[in-house]
Amino acid sequence: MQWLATYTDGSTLGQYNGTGGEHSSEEIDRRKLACFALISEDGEHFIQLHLEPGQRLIFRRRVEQSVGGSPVVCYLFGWQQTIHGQNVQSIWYVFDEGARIELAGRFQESHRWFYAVEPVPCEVEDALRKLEELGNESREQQRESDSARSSS
Amino acid sequence: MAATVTIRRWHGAGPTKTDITSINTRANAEDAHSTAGTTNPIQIPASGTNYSYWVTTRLSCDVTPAGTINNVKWYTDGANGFGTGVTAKVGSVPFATGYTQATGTPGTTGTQLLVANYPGFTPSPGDDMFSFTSGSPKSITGTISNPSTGDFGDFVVYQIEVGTTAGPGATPQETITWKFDET
Repeated sequence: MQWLATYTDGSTLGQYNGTGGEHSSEEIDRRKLACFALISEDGEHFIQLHLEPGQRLIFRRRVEQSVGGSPVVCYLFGWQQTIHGQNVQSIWYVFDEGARIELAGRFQESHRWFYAVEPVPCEVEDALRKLEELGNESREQQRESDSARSSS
Repeated sequence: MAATVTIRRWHGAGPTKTDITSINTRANAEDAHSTAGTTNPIQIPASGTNYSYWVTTRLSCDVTPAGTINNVKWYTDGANGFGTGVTAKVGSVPFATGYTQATGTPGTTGTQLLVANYPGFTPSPGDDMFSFTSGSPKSITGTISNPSTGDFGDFVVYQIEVGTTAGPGATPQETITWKFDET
């Protein structure tokens, strides 16, 4: 499978650039990410996630390799958001090149596949930025509320 | 293109790093990889415990990831199927501490896997290998990022322990699984 990121201005960043090169999902500019899609190799399966403001992309290619066995690959992608101080998320787990998809909420550490990811730097930065935006929104709302009370 | 990651067994003085991703490997009373070797079995002791030579494993990234590989896990099926009198212990060794070649008496017993014999091995003695399952795996420190290739992460080292009640012959196979995430 391969991924395709679409930005708010309509431009895209694909995993493969058509000239043999490959982008890491870490290169996606999360400040202007609008959609994230997974496309199966045969093009038969296409799953697209539309991100709302405040939602952070989660994406990993998770590989299970037993000694003497064949690898099993699961793509996990979805969104995470802080809502009223609570961490809310929705993650798709895509198996068999899209032939089987499972949807789950919060990470479950005791599950064979649904356990948490280890953030990479761009995800940490994105989370901090979103928290700052949340803080700014909250302060702005407080100011408006104070102003309204003063007027009355 | 996704990264290519293989599982390597380290052995010998070199050390030699044998790719065991698609094959099995035996834990005998010898410092060598084999898929079916019977020349140096672990002797069933009259008293106490005999050991395999410890088995040192580590991941190798043969084709670099586009981004980062991290969140490495290690586990078994959770059920000891080796048979009566046979157990297995596992621990990890920081990659910075380095590899220690297995020692012992060939065809009889390996040296017990303890931090005194394998610097950096933790915990010491090791944990029951079968305590680690897909729902409760062993977390392995380590990460590798583009454009790097090669060995990465801590070593996972395990050893078979044979008691007086063990029966002769090869034990049934057990499956060991590694897992990792790629961005």
